[in-house]
Amino acid sequence: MDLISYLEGLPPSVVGALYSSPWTCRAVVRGIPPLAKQYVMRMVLLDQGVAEGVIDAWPKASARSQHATAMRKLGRLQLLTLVPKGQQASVLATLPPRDNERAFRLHPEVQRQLRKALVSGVAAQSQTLSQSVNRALPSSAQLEDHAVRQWEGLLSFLHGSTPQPPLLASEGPKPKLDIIKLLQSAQLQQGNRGKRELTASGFRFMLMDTYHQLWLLLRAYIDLAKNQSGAELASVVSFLLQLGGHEAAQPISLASMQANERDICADLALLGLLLPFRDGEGGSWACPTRLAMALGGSGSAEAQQEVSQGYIIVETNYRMYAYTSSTLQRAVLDLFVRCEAVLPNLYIGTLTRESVIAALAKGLDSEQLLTFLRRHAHPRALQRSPVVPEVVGDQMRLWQAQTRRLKSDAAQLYQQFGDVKVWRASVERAKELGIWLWDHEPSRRLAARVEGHPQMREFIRSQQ
Amino acid sequence: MSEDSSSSLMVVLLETHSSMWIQADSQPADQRHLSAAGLLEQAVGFLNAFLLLSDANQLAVFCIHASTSHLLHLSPGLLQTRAKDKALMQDTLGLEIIARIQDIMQQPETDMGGRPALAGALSRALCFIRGQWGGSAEEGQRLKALGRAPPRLLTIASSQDAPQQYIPTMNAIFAAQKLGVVMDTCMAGPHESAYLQQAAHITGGQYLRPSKPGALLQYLLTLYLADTNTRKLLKYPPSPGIDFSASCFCHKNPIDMGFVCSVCLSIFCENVKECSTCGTKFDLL
Repeated sequence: MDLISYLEGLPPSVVGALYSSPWTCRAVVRGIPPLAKQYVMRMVLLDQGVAEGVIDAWPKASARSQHATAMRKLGRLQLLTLVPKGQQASVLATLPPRDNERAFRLHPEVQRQLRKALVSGVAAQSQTLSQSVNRALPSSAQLEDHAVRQWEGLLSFLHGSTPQPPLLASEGPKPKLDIIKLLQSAQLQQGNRGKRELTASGFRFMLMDTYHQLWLLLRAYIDLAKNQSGAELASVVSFLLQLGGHEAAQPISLASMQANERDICADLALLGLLLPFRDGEGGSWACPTRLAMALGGSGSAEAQQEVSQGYIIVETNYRMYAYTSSTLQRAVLDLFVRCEAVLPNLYIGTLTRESVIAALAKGLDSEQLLTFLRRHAHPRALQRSPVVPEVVGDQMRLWQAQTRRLKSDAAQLYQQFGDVKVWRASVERAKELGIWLWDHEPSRRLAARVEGHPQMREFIRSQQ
Repeated sequence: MSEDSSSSLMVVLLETHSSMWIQADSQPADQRHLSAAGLLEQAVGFLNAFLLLSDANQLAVFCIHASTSHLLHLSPGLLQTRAKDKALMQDTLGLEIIARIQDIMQQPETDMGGRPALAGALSRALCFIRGQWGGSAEEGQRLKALGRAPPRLLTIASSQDAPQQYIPTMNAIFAAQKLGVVMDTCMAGPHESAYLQQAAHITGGQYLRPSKPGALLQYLLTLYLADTNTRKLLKYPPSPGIDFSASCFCHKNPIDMGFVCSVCLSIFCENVKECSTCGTKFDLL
């Protein structure tokens, strides 16, 4: 879904190429669990490998599970590589050394980039801007406006409340991106131009935070770009991450870019990540918006806060007040709230059993709904603890549990037992095998899971 | 909210007192000794690592100088105006800090012989934390109720303790304890520091005097990089014997045994007739 899970699925050669960019390294380090971050930083200065026993001794005994998660993550991302058998001599070993102990070291490329980052920081190259550029520089309000317009336009198109995908109003190179194709390849929308509808993952997408939404779309975008123009994956990803590394209102010159980077820029402008503008001398520039900065971030809660202002208050009587005038945000709330009144700046609704179960039926999860409510909580609501009243949260979980009361197993029904003894022995045998589901003595019937059928058949035959 | 409750702000105090430069550079540079420039280099490496780990991480760096304390660096998010942040963001963190230190060294010092202003710098850092975190006592209480931890305070010093500063330093440490600020302390010099040991002990932080100061950065990364939440998951070296010895209020001498006022708990190295702090008369003796 985000960058990390994307990288996990890539082959070693591709990951190796990606890690040679400082931006990728930074984004990866920011994205891994906190314990894994500490392990990486402990190893960044070491030239020799570290024995597994040494790493295992770092966490407290109570943190076993977090340790296992961290190690799995580091392994899957190929941040930790095994030291080959021949070079075991130069390993920071446990005392006393154990035989055949595995040893790890950081991915050499990552280590190189991180060491560089420790020395000089990963700040974007600052540049001196000419007067004409400075004068044409868009204000932060303009940037914000552009980001909101493009991104919300995209979301409301996805949701179906506007018939047309957003267009790029400002000047600059024309984007080649086909939004409909992008949404379909991200499996958010299905159907053709006449009749488009949200998929289950599309519904979940509407409730995600901006960071995860961005990455989900960009992953689809990267795949599209690879299929269409055969663009080098590594260059696309590191370019995207580099954008995230720029400070707000640090313009990028399009003139100094390669053709494929310029195309990416145009597409990103359409998504609201960049705002293209021209300086007095006709040179093309682009300014990253806060959406672009979210890219390089870790999606942490605090970074999220800056991306969007909270507006939702949930009360213990299941009533919800949302201070918003955005039609998009109202449309999202309509997914799981019964709307009662809409005022110019306020949406009032109730979380009812029907509205929540309707949302669950579309493939949403009660936890997702709750996270959404918490994430967009109004600053006033944030002062309470818990942010969403406990009774509301529990009730939503219960509603979900109700929808899952029925469970189906593929089963085999055995009946017409000639002898009650055989029936009884068969029931015992089914229980022994752990496949017993149901039995009924008067009618001498027995149901067991279908996967145990061969053994059951054997058994009943041998009894008769 | 609960998992992300540790603070993303770290306040760092770096000692830049002139005695540190003289003392450090008179030693041969090898694993055992760290030149002053090396110390700065490695400290900046640690700061960069801290900023690298999360985009939410913010930094405020002050120096402990002779009798004064100056601001060396502030993350752009902590600045009030945009104009300022443009001016400050021109250089990398390391260059910016070094440039600031050079500025400070060139200023005519009013008191060249002054001891490093540890107590002053601590107080200043705590005031800054108070301003950033909550701003008022009620606000701080509210944040604490939400499970938000106040910022961390890391001190990297290398000079010996100054007994004259015993009272203000201890007061600052107790203030930090009351605020809930975790104080990490690192002694890069050759002497143990009783004050810094007590600071870490009282506030639940870590104290360390590296046995190989040349590898300071590795020590810093291993011990001080984790935030308070992650520390609950990691093993830390047991705290060494802490030197709890106090300094007397009358002559500022460090003492192991002395006289204590029964009313205000002031400490004296000799038997006095009247407490100099609260004025209580001891006429029993």
